[in-house]
Amino acid sequence: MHLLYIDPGSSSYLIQLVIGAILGVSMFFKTFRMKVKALFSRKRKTE
Amino acid sequence: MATPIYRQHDHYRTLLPQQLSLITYPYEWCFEQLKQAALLTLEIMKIALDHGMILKDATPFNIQFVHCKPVFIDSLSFEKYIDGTPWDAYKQFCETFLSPLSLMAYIDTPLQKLLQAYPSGIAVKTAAALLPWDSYFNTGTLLHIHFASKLKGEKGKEDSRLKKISRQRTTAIINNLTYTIKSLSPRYKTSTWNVYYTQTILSAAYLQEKETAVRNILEQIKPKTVIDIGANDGYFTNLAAEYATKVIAIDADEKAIERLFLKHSPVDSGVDVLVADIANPSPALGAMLKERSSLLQRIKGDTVLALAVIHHLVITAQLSMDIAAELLAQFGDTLVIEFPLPEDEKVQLISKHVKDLSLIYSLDIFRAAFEGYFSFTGEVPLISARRIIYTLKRKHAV
Repeated sequence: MHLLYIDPGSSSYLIQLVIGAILGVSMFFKTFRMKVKALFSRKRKTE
Repeated sequence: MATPIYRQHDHYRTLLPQQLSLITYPYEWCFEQLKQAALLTLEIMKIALDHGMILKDATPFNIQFVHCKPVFIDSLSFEKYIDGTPWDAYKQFCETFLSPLSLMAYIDTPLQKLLQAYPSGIAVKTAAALLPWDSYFNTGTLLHIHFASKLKGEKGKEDSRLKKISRQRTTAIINNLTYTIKSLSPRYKTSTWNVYYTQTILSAAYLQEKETAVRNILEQIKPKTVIDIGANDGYFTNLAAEYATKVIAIDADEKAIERLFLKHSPVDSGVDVLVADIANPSPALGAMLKERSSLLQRIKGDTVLALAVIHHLVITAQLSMDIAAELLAQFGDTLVIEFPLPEDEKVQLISKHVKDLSLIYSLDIFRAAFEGYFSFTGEVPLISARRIIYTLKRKHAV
C-alpha cells in the first residue's frame, strides 16, 4: 500500500466504497433495463 | 559553466515540457474554463486507467489554458494503478473542482475567487451547507457532496483500507463525475457588461470611427502580443487578433469573458482570456509569496489596449489618475488608450455620485498623470463622441 501519499485522501476511501457500490447497483439496473428493452424490440421485429 | 542538474545524476530521461508564455490561475478563470479543466482531468484519468496508471492529484492548478484550450501540465502526477485501490485524488477532485463548480452552478454569484482564498479547495461539508435545495435533485451533487458530507467517519481507518474497490467501480465513479460536471451550468447569467456592446453603446457611428482608428494604429505598430484591458465582449480583442500573434483579453466581468472564451475555444486565434479586476488584481500567493506570482508580474506584452476603461478606473474604482497611469504602465511599452472627456455621456452617467468631477478627472489631469510614465506619440479625436484615442510610449520598462 502506498502509505506516503495516502493521508490527504484517506477520509474519502469509505465514501468511494459506498458511492462505488451505489453506482454499481444503479448500473446493474440500467443494463438490466436495456436488456429487457432489447428483448421486446426483437419480439416486435419477428411479428 | 556549471553542469545542468539533469546531467549531474544518473537518470533515465529528462522531460522538458512545452514552455508557456502565459500562466493563469483557476481564480482567474470563467466557469466554462474550470468546467473544461475538470472534464479534461477526468478524461485523462480514464486514459491513464486504460494504461494501468492513475493520477495521484486532481486539482485545477494542474491545468493551464493555451489559446483557450485546457492543457494538463503535471506529468509527475501519473502513478501505477494497483488494482483494487481507491482513487487517492478523488477527495481533492471533489474539493477543488466539484465544490466550486456546484456552488457557481447553484448560487447566483460569480464565485471563482474561492480558489484564491482556498487553493486546497472547498470541503464538501462546506459546499453542502451552502448549496440550495435544488442541488439535491442532481444525482452527482447529491452523491458526492450531500451524501458524502453526511457519511460518518470510519470506525477504524484500517477497516476500509483493506476493502477493495474494483476498477469497474472506480471507472463508474469517474463516469458519474464526468456526467455531473457536464450537467452543471452557471446560474449567474447576465451582468451589466455582457450586453454593453449590444445595448448601451453610444452609437454605431462611434463604433465604426473607433474601429477605424484602432485598426490604423495597430497597422502602424505591428504588435506581437496585445493585452486588451477591459475587453468586455471582445470586439477589439478579435480585431487585435487580426494584427497580433497573441492577444490576452482581461475583464472583471465573468460572463463577458465566458462569451469570449466560448468564441475562441474551438479555434486557434492566439487569444487567451482571464477574469480579473485590474484595479484589484490577484496578489502573489503561496510559499514565500513566490509560488504564484501576482497578475501584474505575469501579464506582459508589447501593446496594451485600454479602450473606454480609464473613466471606470478613476471614477468607479476610485483610483487616482496617477495610480491608474502607473497601473497601465505595468504591462507593455505601447499603450493605446481611449480617454472619454468629462462631458461624455457615459462619464456623466457613472460620476453622478462625485461632487466635483474636475478635481479627479479632466484632460489636464489625465495628461499630467500619464506624462509621468509615458510619452504621447499619437492623438485621434473621435468626432462622433466626446472621446480621444491616444497612443503612448512607455518611458521606462517595468
